[in-house]
Amino acid sequence: MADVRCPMCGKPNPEVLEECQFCGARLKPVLGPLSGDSQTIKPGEEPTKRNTSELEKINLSRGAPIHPGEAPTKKNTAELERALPAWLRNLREGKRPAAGESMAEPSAPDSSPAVSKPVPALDSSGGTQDWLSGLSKAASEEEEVPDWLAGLRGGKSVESAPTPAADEELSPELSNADWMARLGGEPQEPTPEPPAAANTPAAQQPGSETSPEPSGMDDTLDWLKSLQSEPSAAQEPPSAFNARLEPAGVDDTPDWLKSLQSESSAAQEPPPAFNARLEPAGKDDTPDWLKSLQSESSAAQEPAPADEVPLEPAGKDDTPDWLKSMQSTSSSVQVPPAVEAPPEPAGADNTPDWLKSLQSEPSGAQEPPAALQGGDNLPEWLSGLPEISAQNNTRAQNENENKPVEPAQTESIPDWLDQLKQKSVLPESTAPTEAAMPAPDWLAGFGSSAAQPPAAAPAENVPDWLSNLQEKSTPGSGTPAAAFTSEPQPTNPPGDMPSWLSQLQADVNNAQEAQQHKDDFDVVPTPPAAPKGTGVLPDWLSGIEPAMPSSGSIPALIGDNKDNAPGEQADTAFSMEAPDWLSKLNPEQAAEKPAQPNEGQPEPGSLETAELPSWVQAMRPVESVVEQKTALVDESRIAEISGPLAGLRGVLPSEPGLGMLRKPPAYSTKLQVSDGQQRYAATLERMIAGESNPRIAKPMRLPSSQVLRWLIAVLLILAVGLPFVIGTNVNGVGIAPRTAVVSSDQFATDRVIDGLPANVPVLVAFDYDPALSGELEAVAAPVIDRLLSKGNPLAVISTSPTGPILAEHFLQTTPLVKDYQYPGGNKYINLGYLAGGPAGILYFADTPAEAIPVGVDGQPAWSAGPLQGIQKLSDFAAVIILTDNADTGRNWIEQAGPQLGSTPMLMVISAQAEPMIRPYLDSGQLKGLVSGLSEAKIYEQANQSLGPIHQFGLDNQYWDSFSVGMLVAELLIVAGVVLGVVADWRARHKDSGEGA
Amino acid sequence: MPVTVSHDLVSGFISFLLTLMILSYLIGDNPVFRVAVYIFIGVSAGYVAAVAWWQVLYPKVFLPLTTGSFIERLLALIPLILGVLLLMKLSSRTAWLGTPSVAFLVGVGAAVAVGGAVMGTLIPQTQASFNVFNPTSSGETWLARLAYGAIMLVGTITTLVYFHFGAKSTPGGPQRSKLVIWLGWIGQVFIAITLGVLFAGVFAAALTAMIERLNSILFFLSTLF
Repeated sequence: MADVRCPMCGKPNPEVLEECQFCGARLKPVLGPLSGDSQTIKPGEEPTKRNTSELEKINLSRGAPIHPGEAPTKKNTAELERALPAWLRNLREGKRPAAGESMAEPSAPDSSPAVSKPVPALDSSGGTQDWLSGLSKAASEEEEVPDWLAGLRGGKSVESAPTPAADEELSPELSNADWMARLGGEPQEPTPEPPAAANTPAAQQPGSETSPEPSGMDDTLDWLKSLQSEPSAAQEPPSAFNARLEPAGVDDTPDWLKSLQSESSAAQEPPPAFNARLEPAGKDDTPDWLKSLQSESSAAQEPAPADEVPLEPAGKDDTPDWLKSMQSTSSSVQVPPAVEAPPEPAGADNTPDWLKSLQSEPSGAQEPPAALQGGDNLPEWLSGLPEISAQNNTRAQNENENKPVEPAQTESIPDWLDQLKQKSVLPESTAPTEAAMPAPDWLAGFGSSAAQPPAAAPAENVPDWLSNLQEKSTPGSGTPAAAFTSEPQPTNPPGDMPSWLSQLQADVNNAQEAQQHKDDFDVVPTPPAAPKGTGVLPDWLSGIEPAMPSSGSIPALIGDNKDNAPGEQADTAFSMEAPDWLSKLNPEQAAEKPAQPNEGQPEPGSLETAELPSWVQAMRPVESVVEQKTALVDESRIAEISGPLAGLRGVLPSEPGLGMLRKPPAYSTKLQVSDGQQRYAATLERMIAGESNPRIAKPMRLPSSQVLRWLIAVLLILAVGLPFVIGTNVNGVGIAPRTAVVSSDQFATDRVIDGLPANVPVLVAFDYDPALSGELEAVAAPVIDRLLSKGNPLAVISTSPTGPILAEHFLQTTPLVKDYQYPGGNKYINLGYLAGGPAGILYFADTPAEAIPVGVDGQPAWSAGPLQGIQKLSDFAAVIILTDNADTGRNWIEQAGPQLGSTPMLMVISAQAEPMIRPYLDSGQLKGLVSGLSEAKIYEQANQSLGPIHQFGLDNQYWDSFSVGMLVAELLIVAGVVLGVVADWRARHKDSGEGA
Repeated sequence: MPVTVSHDLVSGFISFLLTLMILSYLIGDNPVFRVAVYIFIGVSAGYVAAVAWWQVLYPKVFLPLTTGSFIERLLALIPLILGVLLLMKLSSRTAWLGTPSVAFLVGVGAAVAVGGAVMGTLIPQTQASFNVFNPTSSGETWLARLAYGAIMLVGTITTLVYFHFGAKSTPGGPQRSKLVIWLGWIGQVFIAITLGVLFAGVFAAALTAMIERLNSILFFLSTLF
């Protein structure tokens, strides 16, 4: 009893149950686990294909169209066992046609003993020929593979011998491919048909009839060659299919092919039809057993080279490969005009493409009448088998001589076809009886089946769907029976064409148009090297008007598929969708189908308007299905739009109460904020609130500052003026003691000035403002006094506009300096104002004469006087900078310093510039520095050596005032600090008291 | 007896008067102080203008243009044009004409300043900082140099750290590391000392200037009496 897998929980349930016994989910809406679900979707496989099949299977139960997302209905395919074709059933049951019935007997009567007993060989191998025996067990298996595939595998796994192929069956990935391997491998027998290699064109290999391995097969795969070699070694005509089945020693041969090879070598009786399945299947959904039909026939009747016989790229269309194979087969089949039914132009419109192609073959390839003689009345697709290769017509005739000639009809036509013919009461004379062609065993089985009374085994040897056709055709020449007859059938009117065939036609046409670019798979319509012995097209095929001309564009499924790797072939096989027709057909349904009255008549209604097979429906365009879906779908059911159940209707209960019953959780609407965010928000709120509140200005105590200002002013004035009043700074008594501190800077400046060469002009820059002229004059006086004492001429310059006049004032009015009575133009030259700031200094440092060509008096300064001979700044004995601004002093250092060379630079600066200039003294850029009154006083004391009068200059006059003033200032600072601390303490104490 | 007005007396009186006018600022901003300031600014401006004419424009522009050779005239024409264009800055409509002159001045000034700063201050001062830790350098004793160098190094580093305002993001808000805070506090001390020194220098300079003014006033008064 088949189990139905719950679509919700995935657990198996008895088929009788409507709801899952584990989860309670409904099982009926989903009619069963999708056979296609277990199949791995391979790259390149169109998902719509699968969806349509699912739709088909779901809706077929109620006649609804296929919907996307629906899965095919799982069916008890074991029941379909009876519906299988007889040749399949024979293979499965291990039956071998009798010697007299076998079609393979004449093919290799004496050369291959295995041919005579192929069945035992298969049986001995573990019943490998019973590859369909698993169909009976498919219902009990819970595999995800299609039932029919699962049945095949199951049967094989139980019964098959531990062949290499069987070992690979254990691989789950190869599970789906193994059945094909078994199908092709188990019956692999040395086919008696000795046609040239399928990859070798007969036209290019005239000797292909006698040579199984035609020369020039360089491009043939090794495994193909090996396959070809084995049949020859077995004294059997090498067939293209056998060659394919011998991948021994070939590295690139797929394992499943190797297994097939091994099996075939053991069985020695591979039905060509199944051998052909070993062909590299394209990336399509075509079952290989169907492709085999194509490959066999094409290889046998059209031994084109692999490179010239491109395989049909059926992977990109929905056309069943078995149909395409038939197309290709028929395309390659050279049907004798005498036997072949005349074209039916009227029926070409409604004739499926695959049928049209079958019809087109005769027109496309003109076969000599001799083919008819040798080909008997076998169908083309049978005559194309290796055993009945057209190239071996002569051999076939010879074989017929050794064997009792049997009716060709019974030999070349499968039993189920024969039965159909018998039931259809067709004149056998229409099928030319010829000597028995070398036919494969499975064909022989057909012959044996045909030899049996039709009534004895209609249900076993004849597929049910064919039996149904027979039953339908029996009353009045049913269409299938008529189709299998070799009589010329009239054109089927469009109205009589079954819908599924008409749809197939459209699909095939579309697919062929889309695949015409794949020339590698196209069949080259080269005529066979020798007249085919199986040139007779079956009636059901010959009666079809060719819809497409036989051309190279017609794809063939055989050939050297170099483009497809073995792995790809296997994958394609795995990804192949299960032929739903197997699951679709069952004896009951077939029996219920009304038989068509037009039996044996090429009337429009000759073809059964049976229910469209599911696999055919799966290939129909979705749009066509959708149109019907809108009309047929039960709107009351809710279609799932997402998840694995997308596209399915009524899968989940839609009744209220079964959904969410508990109260939905209540979520707090309170804003979830962190502590930091709350802190920030609070701060923002305070800021906003503070902006809105008016500020209360605190009263400031300003009177104290005014008093302090006056107090400080009075104190400083008294401190500074008191020495002048009492006259202590005049006589040198001084309030403040003479400083005993000896500055290192003072000694450095003395050394520089004392070391100046005599009569070399010294550049003195008066770069101070009038505001600080009192300080600078007092500071610079002892330095200039010492300098003038040496008698060096001076060149006065200034970067300040007031500098030249201040220089004149300094030289003329400053005590101790004015005593030297330096005459202008003789001992010193006032160069005036140097414009440009730093740039002017740089300019003057580079070319002093160009920067200031004339002096303040307008006379040339550099051509005569003390500056004669001075060309550059380094020509001066020294450069003394008098400035109260640190920036000015830095400009002189930066711009003129690099130009000085060995010329020393001294600076006499204000006390306020000392912190900024002293680093240059420390770095050595300045050779001497005198800053402020304090250092000037020290320097002045050092000038005592110049004379007693030289130590009582301005510095001495200012020193007491300066000292007292600094003391007062220090006291004021201290007092201010104390007052500040006290005020702060009082303020804090007051605040603390108020706070308390 | 005719009273002879000497030059020193007049100049002494003017200086005495202007000094008092400036010292009037003790009572606050007053017109006397402003008059003194205006006189100082006016006299300074006039003097500067005279200096600029007589010491810059006339000898370097007009004199070459009038008495110089052709080359000197051409060369003198360049600063004349630039100077005229710079005067266009007086009007907003013609201010754009002075842009080239300003660009020239700024470009040349910047280039000279940068070059002088690098060659005259940055590199020499860097070398001097290295030499502080040179034990072989002459001068003070090794210990004195080490102490001086250590103080300078600490002062430099801590002062730079004080001006480092980087902070890490913490849940409580941006916060400086404790090490940075500690070093910054030391740097703050050094900065305070530096500012104190600068203030002392400025005070000393101002005090000296005041002494000179008081000496001048007292001298003038002593001259009168």
